[in-house]
Amino acid sequence: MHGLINKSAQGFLTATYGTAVWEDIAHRAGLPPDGFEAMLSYPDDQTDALLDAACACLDRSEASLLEDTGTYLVTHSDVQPVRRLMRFGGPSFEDFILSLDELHDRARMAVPDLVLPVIEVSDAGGGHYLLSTRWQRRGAVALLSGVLNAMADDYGALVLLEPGAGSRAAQAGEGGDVIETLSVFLADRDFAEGNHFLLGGAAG
Amino acid sequence: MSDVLPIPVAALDAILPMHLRVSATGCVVHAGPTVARLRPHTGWQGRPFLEVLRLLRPNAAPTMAGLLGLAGQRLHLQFRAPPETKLRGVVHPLPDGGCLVTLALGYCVVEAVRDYGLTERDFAHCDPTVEMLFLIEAKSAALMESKNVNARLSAAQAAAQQQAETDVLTGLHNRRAMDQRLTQMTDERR
Repeated sequence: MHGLINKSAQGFLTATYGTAVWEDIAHRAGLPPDGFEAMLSYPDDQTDALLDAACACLDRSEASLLEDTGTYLVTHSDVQPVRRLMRFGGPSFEDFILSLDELHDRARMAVPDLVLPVIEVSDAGGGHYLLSTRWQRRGAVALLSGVLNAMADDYGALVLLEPGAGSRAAQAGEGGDVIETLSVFLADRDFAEGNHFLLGGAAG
Repeated sequence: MSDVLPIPVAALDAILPMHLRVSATGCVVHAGPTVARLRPHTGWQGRPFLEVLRLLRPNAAPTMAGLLGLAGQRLHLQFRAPPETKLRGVVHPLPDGGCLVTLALGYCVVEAVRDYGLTERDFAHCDPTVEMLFLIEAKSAALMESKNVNARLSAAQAAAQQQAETDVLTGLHNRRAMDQRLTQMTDERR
């Protein structure tokens, strides 16, 4: 798993629970106290060990931790570029949802060895969307739920998310990936003011 | 088959939001929606093209005839009034004696997007500018992360080097450090 993903989980845990708790989790997971470097890749079992240790330490489910990690990625000041990069998905939240099927390719264009979930979006009409994710591990929908809730706030939209029941292993020939689904209902696109996004607004 | 395509102005605006139509007398008769956003206060309508934009290259007579003579060539242009954004342009003669000038922001695109508050809607759907801006930001963020990694690794390397040359018990430099210093000194004497 790419360092950016591991480092996101580390960043979320440190920002939310403090350095001492992070070091405890890292110790349990057999990781160095400094954790991960963002631009390196790590064996997948280190990600599993990290999440298992965090779940045990904090008595929380993996899905809830991943969901909060997704929200952290969009909202926390330590990872500010992420919000802006996500906003490039489109001027409205609908555009943003429909752009999610490009997310995998966009990420790969920016960081060639970063593998984000492949997302298929189908527009069921009336503000209903069905998202199907395919990733090398489970948890894509949990992570995406956190990101979507935070991005909805950012756009000022109100969404209701419902993860599909369970996940299934991808069919043979799809590389042993895990497929999960998420229903998205855009209840109100102009629910709140939302944050501004200027195309040329990046600092520096 | 006719080699003249009648195309609605609205379609042309969508395909080429950065175009100007200039009359035979050299005055702007129509500005595409994005070019219009580059001169929000003064506008373009009826203004002589070469009074709004200065031709930097190629060096040619600043007249309408001179401009038409440059048809097909890449022009370097710059606004005379601030913000003095530089533009690239190509002149395409029209049957009515005027011309269509297509403009592009070139390498000034990042500043222009900021200066004029351009949005995704200001770029044609086939124009990869927004994707390019995404990449610039994504690559800058990735580069910043890489720099952070390098800084941490280089600090760790310096600390390891220091430890390798120091005796743990006394805190003095060890045999390895002495050997290195002696080699260095003998090298310097040669």
